[in-house]
Amino acid sequence: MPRGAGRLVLVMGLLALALGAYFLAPRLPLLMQPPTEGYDPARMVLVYATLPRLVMAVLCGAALGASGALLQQALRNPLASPTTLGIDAGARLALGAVTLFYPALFGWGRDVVALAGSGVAAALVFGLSRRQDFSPVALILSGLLVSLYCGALAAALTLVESRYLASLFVWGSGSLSQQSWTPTFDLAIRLAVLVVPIALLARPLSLLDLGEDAARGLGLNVAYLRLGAVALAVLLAAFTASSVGVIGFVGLVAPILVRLAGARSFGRSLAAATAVGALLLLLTDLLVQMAAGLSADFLPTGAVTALLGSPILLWLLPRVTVRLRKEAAAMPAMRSYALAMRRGVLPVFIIGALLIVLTLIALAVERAPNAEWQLLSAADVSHILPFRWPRVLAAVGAGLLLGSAGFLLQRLTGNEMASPEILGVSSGATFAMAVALFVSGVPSLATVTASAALGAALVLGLILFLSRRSGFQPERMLLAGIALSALLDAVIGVLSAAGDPRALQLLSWLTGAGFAAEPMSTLVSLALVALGIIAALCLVRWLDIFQLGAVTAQELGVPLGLARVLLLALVAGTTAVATPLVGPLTFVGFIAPNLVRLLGLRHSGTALLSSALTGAAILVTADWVARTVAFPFQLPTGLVASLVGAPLLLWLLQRRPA
Amino acid sequence: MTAQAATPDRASAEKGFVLEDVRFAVDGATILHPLSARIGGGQVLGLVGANGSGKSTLLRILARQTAPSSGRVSFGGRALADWGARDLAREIAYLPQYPQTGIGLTAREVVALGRYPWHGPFGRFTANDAARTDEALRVTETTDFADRTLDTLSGGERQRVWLAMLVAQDAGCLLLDEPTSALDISHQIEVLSLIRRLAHESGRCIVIVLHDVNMASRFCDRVMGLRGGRLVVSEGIHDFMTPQSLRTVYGLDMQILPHATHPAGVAIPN
Repeated sequence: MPRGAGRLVLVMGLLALALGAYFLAPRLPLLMQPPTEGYDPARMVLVYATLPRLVMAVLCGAALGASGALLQQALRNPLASPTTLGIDAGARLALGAVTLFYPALFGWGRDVVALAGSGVAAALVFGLSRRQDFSPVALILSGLLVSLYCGALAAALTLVESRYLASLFVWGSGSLSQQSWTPTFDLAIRLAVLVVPIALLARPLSLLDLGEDAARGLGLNVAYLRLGAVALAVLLAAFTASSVGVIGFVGLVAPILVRLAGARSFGRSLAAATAVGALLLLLTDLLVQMAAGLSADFLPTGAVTALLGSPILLWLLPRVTVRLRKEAAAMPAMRSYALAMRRGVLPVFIIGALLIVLTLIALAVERAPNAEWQLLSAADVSHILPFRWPRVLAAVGAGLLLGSAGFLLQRLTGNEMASPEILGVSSGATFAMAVALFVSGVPSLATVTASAALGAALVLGLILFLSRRSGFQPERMLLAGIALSALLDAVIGVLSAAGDPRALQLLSWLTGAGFAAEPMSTLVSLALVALGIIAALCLVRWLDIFQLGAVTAQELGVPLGLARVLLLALVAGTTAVATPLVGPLTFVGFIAPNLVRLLGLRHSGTALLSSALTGAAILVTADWVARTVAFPFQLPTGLVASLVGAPLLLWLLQRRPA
Repeated sequence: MTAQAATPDRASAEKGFVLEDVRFAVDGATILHPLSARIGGGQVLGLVGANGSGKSTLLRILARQTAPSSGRVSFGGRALADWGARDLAREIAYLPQYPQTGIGLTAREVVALGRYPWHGPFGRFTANDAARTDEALRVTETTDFADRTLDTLSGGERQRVWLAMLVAQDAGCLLLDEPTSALDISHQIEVLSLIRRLAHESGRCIVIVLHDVNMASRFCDRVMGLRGGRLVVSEGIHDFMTPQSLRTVYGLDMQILPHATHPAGVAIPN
């Protein structure tokens, strides 16, 4: 029996073969019979729906697995996946916009529109990271930002014009259902074109395992190599997305599974990830078709993949001792700004003052009933302010929480992609909120908050349980979080795609549109904010020492396991308080710490406070924009936060000299 | 590096290690065969041997970065595993062969972090802590670039900053894995002289992995020679600097030439 990744492929292959045989055995004899004259629905379903669908699953899974393997190798980050480069979000935005504003374009074909959207998004990502020589951090940051931005815009369109865009739900969850062989052949041809260039890049890419300098020393042009690999990965994912929609999880999880199973060299792990991706999607689709029967067409396989993939990942995670993180992509040096040289607390005061000004604007500047801009008049203060201040202060509180949670998590994991949104804690909170919504119909705010806290606590407990054997290695906690998060998102995705009317309410929640704050709950949240930040400030010394690496931290007597558990618990706690306030999808926890890092603040205490204040400033601004810009309609605060924060980050990313 | 190194804060710096049948294996391959030894204070002990002979593994076990597969290690009369993390960090400082890179902190900030075992997560960073940080910067001659970030320094400068952090940590026992690998010859001499003074003047116990036989001959008091994961030589420096011992450790014939100022002589391969 082969070892390592080979065994994983073999086991999954045999399983797929057995399931496939069981599934197809009663139907295949239809093919043997001579074609009957006239109408034969069973045969038609088999030939034009079932078979192409299975082939489609294999093709898409393989393409996404390979795409993920390429990206994780080229960007030296085990969390990179096609979704993080904005490919899906670009396609989704293009589809949404064309549906609403220029449906005639669909005459060229839906896949062409999606492909164009992906292409524009990818071009944007490359353009943004060009000045930094396509460094991994720059590519990842720009990719995530483009993804956030397009995703937020697409979601905003969906919310405003939900009637027309219901089909985007299904597309966004990745439905494999087919009516003919044409899309399958189209995809196969497109993918076949990419096989040769990928094979050519496999060997140079494996040199990256030596580190960039050594690879350069061996005669590689690392920047162009990375560009080429990322471009190929983008094409793979874009072709897939244009024909079946978003299947997010495979590209992330297939390469990780392969590495956990023991593949070391890049050539092997690329091949194995391709196979595992194909088999994972095939298995999922077989299960979906068998379980759902005729309604399988409406159950999007993409959303369900996580239901199968996450448990495998969670099962493998505590069992292996392989080091996951390849050589850390060096954090960008931060020495270019005048601000960086100031070691004092001045930046904290500047950002704090900015926050106060923004808060006052949010309280006082409004749109009159006739949509004119005006200052809150003295006469209205007593009528309006009691309704407005809780909401504004809740935004401040949530921003403070998310900003500090994101900073803590990025320091803890040493990964600039980490944010509370991907840790699974927000997903846990959201999931519990969704359950509350589905069980009780119209839950009260207290019920919602309580269930959010419960969900977050459960997810946190699971993450700790799963990573205890590795000594709470941050990388593993992050992966456990991602797996849980994908699992919960899958359930939410299935609910949304199933057409349940409550799905729309769920979506509005996810985007922070159901932003209702009461004075009491706001004050309680603010008290919790103060507690959380004081607790975080107490741990600042650990955060400083974490920068020196785990070995030195241990050498200096930091209790690593305890420190990691405490920090993670703090992150989870703060996220749990913030999620019911603004929804899980603000990405403030991702944007704020990165902004602070690009500003060049190194010292943990200063950076923590700045990150918290920046988060609050973004959310207050977002909330104010959400209330006023489309007056009398309100936009979802969480979405607007992405739209407000992302350009700031992009601007800083551009300014930073390479 | 003319100044006297500061004396440690604790009363007795002369704690030492006792190793009994310490063995280390990974995936069935034995890296370190059962080894027993005593390692005491007030002297510089050199760990020498060819590549892959188990020197770094032994050092990592002493530093409690790795647990031995079997056998017992104790320090100061207590099993190494029973020490609290910060208590141990006040006694033992460890410099890995390849410390973390890509650090955006300044040299002074990194050196100040060496005071963590003394003030802990909540204690105040006292004037004494600051003084010891300055002192550590001074004796390692890193004051000139104390306010530059670590990733802007040269390899040798960075290595001296890490050493400064260890000096600031003020432990009674220093475990150093090739601390001079990136240094030019004059800084090698200065750093090793400093390390020797730390041992002789304040009774610290120093265990140092060295590649250069002649640096070992000049600065170590004792040498433990490893070959293929076995301890093959453990003797004073004069007994080590003989053709027989050197052949046992390196499997290479060398001759010992007299040297005007250091008595153990220098070794030259035949």
